[in-house]
Amino acid sequence: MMIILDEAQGPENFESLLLRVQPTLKQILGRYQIPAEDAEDVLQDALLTLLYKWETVHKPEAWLIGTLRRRCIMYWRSRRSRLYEAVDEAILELVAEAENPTQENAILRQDLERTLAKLRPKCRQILRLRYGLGLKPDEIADQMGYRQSSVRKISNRCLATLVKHLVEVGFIEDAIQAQGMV
Amino acid sequence: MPSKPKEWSESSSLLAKLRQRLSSQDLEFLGRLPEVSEFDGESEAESPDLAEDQLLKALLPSVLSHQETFRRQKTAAPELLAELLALPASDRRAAVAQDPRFRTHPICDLLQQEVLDSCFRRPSEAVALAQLAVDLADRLEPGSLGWAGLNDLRARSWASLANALRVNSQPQEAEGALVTAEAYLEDGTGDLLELARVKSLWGSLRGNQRRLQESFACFDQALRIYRQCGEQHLLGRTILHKATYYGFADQPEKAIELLREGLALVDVAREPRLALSANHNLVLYLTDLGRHDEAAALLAVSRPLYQSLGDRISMMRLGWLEARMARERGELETAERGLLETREAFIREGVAFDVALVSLELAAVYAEQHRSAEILSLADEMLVLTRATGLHREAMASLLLFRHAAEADAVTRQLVQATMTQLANQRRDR
Repeated sequence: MMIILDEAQGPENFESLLLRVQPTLKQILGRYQIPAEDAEDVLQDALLTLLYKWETVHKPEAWLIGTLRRRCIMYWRSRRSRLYEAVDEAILELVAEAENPTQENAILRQDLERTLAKLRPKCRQILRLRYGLGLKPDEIADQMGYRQSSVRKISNRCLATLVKHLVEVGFIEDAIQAQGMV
Repeated sequence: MPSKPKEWSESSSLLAKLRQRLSSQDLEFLGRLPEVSEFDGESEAESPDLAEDQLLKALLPSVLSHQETFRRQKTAAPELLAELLALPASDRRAAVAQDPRFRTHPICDLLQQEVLDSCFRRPSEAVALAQLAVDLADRLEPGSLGWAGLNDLRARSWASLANALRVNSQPQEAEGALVTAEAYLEDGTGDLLELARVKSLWGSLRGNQRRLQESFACFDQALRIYRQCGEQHLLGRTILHKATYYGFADQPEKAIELLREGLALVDVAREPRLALSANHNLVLYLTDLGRHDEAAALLAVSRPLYQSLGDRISMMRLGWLEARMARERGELETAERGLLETREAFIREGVAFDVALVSLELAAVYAEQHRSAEILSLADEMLVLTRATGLHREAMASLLLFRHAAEADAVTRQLVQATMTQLANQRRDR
């Protein structure tokens, strides 16, 4: 959708550029499934920066489209990260409760172990250290010989696998139904 | 959806507990995430909630309302920055903390330009200036640019600090600063040019650390972004930086290819020093490969650029280059004269590494003329000078070995070249 401006017309101004690329911007937000309530904020950040940098960005249309796409990816990455933290905290709470040696809690521990057994060996090991022994990320890094900066990324990938598994066995669908959302 | 295996029955206590603890929004996103997280790009779905003509209707007036603020702050920034930098270095951070006039985004951006200039002209001051920029960015409010824009600015400041640390041979600290820059970018606007800049700085840092494959990979990531954004000058600039590290990797032919490619793209008026440095290296590599006619022709065309920049260091390097070209052509008397002049100039400037490198090149001339006494005298002078200027241990060790060879009348062109390479690597590795 790139349009080459006729040099004789001079530089396009900010407002006319935006009105021209509006359909493309909407398409990007739609294709990345950014919720409507967040789409304006996502777009506004990009527009304010473009306005601030207007004199130094040489191809504003290319910049805006590429930046907005990247911002959409970052949006989901951030939400995903927060969500995995929520799952992580939920499991940690459960494990803390399961310290009490009741029969229910014994079943809970078995369920958790059964879940972890479905994962790849590396993820199994990391999540067992996390939920079985209660190790913090830096302690897991030391134990497994990872750099501390890497262990969070790896842990998130393992949580992602865990979540994917939960989705595949219908946990999410059931939970949504149970909460009356469908 | 696969049928549930027996173990995931409704009575599974783990699943029941998770359902209780996750909010309905969390559950909805959990269900959607697997399709979204597999994005390499976009889905075919269209969000039904965004009415095309409404998208900008509300946003545009709001965004444009900040235009006057940006204009006013940018106009005031140069004078305010000059006022800040006129203060003694020890007073600047307090001034930023106490005087809100200094706390604007454009001032922080201009300060980073000062940092970049300082990396060329006064490297020893660059880190302090960069730390001031980081401090300033930390004290800024989101203002018109919002939190995402402020995070981008903080990323830029940390990236500038990383570059200043790299130039001052503090690679571990530079690495830490770049990691911090990347963390701020993750909460930024998604500005591709900021990402490309950080990638390019990683390329330079890894190059200095002689992790060349990683360096080239980082540069290539930056190059992809600049191509995507149509930024020709920044694309050329990054190609020129990549060329530098092919030179370090002793691949002059590849360096020459990239230098020519980069020079064709950069806007010389925008960064004359960058163009000068690239031309200089191109002439150097052509000379080292024996392509003397090409080197001479290119130097003739580049000479006005040296003269227009006019700073002492550039002129000294020109003299050094001309002396090397004379040596390679076998014009040893001319080479000796030029190297002696350059050496004196570097001694006056107090640039210990360059004094040592020029001295070694002079020793190569004497070696061709079998002037052993002059070589030994040079070796002794190098050791005295480098001890006086506190050159680090590895460099001293290389020069001591050279002196032993001089004493044994065993200095060859190959030994000179090897010692020069060691010193050049040691300077980069510090």
